[in-house]
Amino acid sequence: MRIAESSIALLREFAPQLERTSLAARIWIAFLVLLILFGGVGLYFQVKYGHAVTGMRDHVVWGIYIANFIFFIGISYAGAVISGILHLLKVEWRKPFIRLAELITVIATIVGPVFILLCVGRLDRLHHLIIYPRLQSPITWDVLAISTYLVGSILLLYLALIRDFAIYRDTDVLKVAKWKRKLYRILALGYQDLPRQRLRIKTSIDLLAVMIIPLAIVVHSVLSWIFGMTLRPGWHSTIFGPYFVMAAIYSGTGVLIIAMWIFRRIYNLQEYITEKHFTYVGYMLLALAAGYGYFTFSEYLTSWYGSEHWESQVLDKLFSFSEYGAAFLFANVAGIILPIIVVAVRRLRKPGYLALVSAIMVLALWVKRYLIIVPTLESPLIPMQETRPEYVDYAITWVEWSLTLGGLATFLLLFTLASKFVTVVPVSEILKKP
Amino acid sequence: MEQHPASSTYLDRRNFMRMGIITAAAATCGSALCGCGSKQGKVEVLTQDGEVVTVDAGHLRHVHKTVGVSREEARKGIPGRKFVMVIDLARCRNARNCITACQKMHHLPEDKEWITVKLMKDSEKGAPYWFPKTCFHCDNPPCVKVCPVNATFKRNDGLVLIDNERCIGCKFCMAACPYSTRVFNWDEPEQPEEIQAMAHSPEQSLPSRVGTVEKCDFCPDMVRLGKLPDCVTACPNGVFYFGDENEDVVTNGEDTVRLSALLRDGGAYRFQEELGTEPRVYYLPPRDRLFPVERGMESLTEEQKAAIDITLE
Amino acid sequence: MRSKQISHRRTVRWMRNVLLLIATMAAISPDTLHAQHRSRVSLECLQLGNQEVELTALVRARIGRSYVPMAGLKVDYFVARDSIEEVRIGSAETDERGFASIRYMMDGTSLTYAFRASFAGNDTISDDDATTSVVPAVLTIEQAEDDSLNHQFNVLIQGWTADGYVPVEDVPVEVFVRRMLSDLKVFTGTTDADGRLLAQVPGDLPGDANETLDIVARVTEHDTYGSLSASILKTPRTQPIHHDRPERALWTDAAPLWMLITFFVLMGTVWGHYLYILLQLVGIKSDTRKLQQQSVNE
Repeated sequence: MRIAESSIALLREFAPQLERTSLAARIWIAFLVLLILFGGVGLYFQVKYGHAVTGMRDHVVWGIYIANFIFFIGISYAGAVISGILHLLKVEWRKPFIRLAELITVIATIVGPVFILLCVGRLDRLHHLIIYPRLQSPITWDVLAISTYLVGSILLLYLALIRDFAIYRDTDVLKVAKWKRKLYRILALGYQDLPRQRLRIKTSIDLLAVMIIPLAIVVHSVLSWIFGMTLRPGWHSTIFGPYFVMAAIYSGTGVLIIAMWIFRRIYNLQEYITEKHFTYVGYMLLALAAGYGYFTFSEYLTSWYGSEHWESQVLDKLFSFSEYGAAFLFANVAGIILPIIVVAVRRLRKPGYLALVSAIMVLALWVKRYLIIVPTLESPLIPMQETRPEYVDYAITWVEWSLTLGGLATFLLLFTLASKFVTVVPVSEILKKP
Repeated sequence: MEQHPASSTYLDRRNFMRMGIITAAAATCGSALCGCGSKQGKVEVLTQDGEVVTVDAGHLRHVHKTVGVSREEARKGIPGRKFVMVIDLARCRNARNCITACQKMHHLPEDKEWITVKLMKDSEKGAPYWFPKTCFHCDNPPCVKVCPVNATFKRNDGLVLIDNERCIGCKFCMAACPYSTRVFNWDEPEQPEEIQAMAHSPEQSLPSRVGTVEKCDFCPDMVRLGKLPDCVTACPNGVFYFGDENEDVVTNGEDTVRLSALLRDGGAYRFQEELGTEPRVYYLPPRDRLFPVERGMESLTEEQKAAIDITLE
Repeated sequence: MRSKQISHRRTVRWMRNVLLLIATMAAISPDTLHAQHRSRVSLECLQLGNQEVELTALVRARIGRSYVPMAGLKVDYFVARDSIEEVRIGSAETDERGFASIRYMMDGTSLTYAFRASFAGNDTISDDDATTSVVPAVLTIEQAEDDSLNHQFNVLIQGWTADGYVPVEDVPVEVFVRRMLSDLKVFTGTTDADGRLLAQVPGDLPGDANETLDIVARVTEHDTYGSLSASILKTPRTQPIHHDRPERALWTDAAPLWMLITFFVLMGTVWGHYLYILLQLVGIKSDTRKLQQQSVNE
């Protein structure tokens, strides 16, 4: 296959990363593996001694595992919606970072569901979901939607990778191990850049780009309906579907900015991922922050204004500084107002600041997910009058932290490994400036 | 099963109330068997007043002696029945005998309550009252709706039960139940070995299994034998009326009354009707109470008292 | 005669108790203190008609402060007819609720029957007995003409005398409807000079699971006749409307149809497209292969 000059030039820059692993990278990987092992210890305790080792109890039946689950599925929006929309709108500036976005999608969609499995008391009976299925349960919807979504996003990622694999296969610039080259050959599917083949890939990507958007919306709506379908204050809300979707795209964009910044620094991609890219994605972030803020305001204003008794119980907890007041304030200031300010002020609209504010915002959105789950479960309709303190207030245990860190480490590790295998910038698509 | 021998029903009816309490006491003794040592057919049992006595093991009434039905049968329910409960709030003084009887019946540890009694106060100026709460066995059960594996199900006789051999422990039903009825086995349940060795039946809700959900079941195994659930017979004040809605009759063990008349004359209501869950449990409002609400504090430990966030005024 | 026997038995028991007390005071074995629980036997005689009676004894033992029904204990039954010497008529073992019962045919000639139930005692539970004495009587219940509100029944009570059966006046009768868990009392009254009573049962009462009303008239522990009982079946005027369980609802096993349709349409569409894309991937491979074949041919 004939390879464009620009692709070869680009590949030369990436070659060191694909060919060998630096000491720093090795230490980083070892660190992540260590964290995952720590999570493994937590998992061992949880399986051996039951869920009693977590902070979850009869009132607060779900804790940070579910918050993590929503968080990761939210992040997965980075690829799905952003790459889908930008592809359909034929936005040229998407190209340098679209692979990053799609990688985030696939990896987060793999890591996220692990957390819902951690909430399941009998992992040995998971097959019951298939042999005794009940379509009425939002959990069934979730299983179906997430698996469909995962397959879709893997396909989307792979379709865009085929041309790259063909280049990796045919180039002599890349001096990688034999097994890697063999794998590239298999994955390239014998692609020869024939017009017919090009068309096949184009139609497939176009189709998927159209489908992935509604799919992603369905996935996050269904996720929100796990809460929305219950008769619980703070959950039983009609805007929960779109609210979750908005929060997901928002946090996905934040993670994308962080990833862009990190990879730009590590791989010296300043030439490809320019400040202009950050500015554009920053504008998206601003719009999404505004939309997310609007939903948040609408949600809390409605229930506060209506001041229904049960609903107020939750709001009182969120507004009171002796309970969740500080966390609520942080979630909204750092999660909505701060990003808007940073993007709006021209002097702050720089890659570094944007990445920093995105990191804070992503953390704030994690806190927000926690605030959706826990205060509601701590406000039962019938007074608790409970003598066991651990049943009254939820407190995160070391097991839950270990598994949360383990999950995060898995996400980062998979990302790191992926970047050792493929170029984070699609070499087949970028035309290097002379 | 429908037809009792004339004699036993006969004597039963007259002695029911007294008997009820005594059998409850027997039940207490019965499960104490497990806790104390047993030697040569003799067992040491703990009586109600805390005395330890030795009696012949064979002479003690078995606590949970019921007929087993097939799992299929247990999913269908008792034919032609529609079980209903009426709780008379005016009679409750938080004696908590229902709680202990239920715990004995289902071999639950002391801190696991399938039936609870809470102090409630509906409005600022309203008077507080004791509120016993079983599972409501709703006709539009939010818990059953959300179960992904059909482990919790609603039977034709109105009961909502759990098959804990099928339950995957996702706890979604617990989040979906607005009444905090369901409890989870967070760790290995503390139950005697012979109970743990039993084959599980949704009708008995026994044995408990780690990582699964359980709750009040209205003792369908007892009902199948024509006997009242243990909480009903254990209550010293006849708070709980239980019966078959199709027969239009409920009984608290002492009085047998027509359900329609009781609901009409007592001004019965269902808890939080606006939630639309259609509970099968009705409440009679706490007017003309038999006991001052303060009486209920007597049976509480200091810890329990401290946990109550409602003031008695 | 019989009372003499009983008083003899009582003396023996009393003496034994005194001995026991002495033994305890001598502190021979502190265990014997708890060795025996006092028992209490009660006896009820129910006349079923046709000369048959059912004798039901309840055996309980004192544990702590209360009497607890005892299972698996043997109860012996005796009868003394018209003060003729007592004979043993049978025995039964108590069930888990403490009840033991036997049936006995009266000979149709004697005027009174004195029954006795006796528990002989064992290592852990002391002995006790109970007596009751009845004159044969018959309770009958028959269908009468219903009025607009009620089912009506004629109840008649006749007691045995030297002149045969004669109606008995002033006997309190209760009428029940049998229900699954307990019987609903629907009527109480007293027989008139002809031994008769018109009992009313509300017409709006639904039938039981067999769609019948099982109506029972009872006399409870009458001084002379003991307990009497007779029952009759009646077709109820109303039957509860059995709302059929919906086949498909959110809470049933099967999902609502719209849900199934939505599921299949959505999943079919998406996975159909996935399949199409997979075919494209296969196509990419075969495109190359065709190209290679072409070049070989050339």
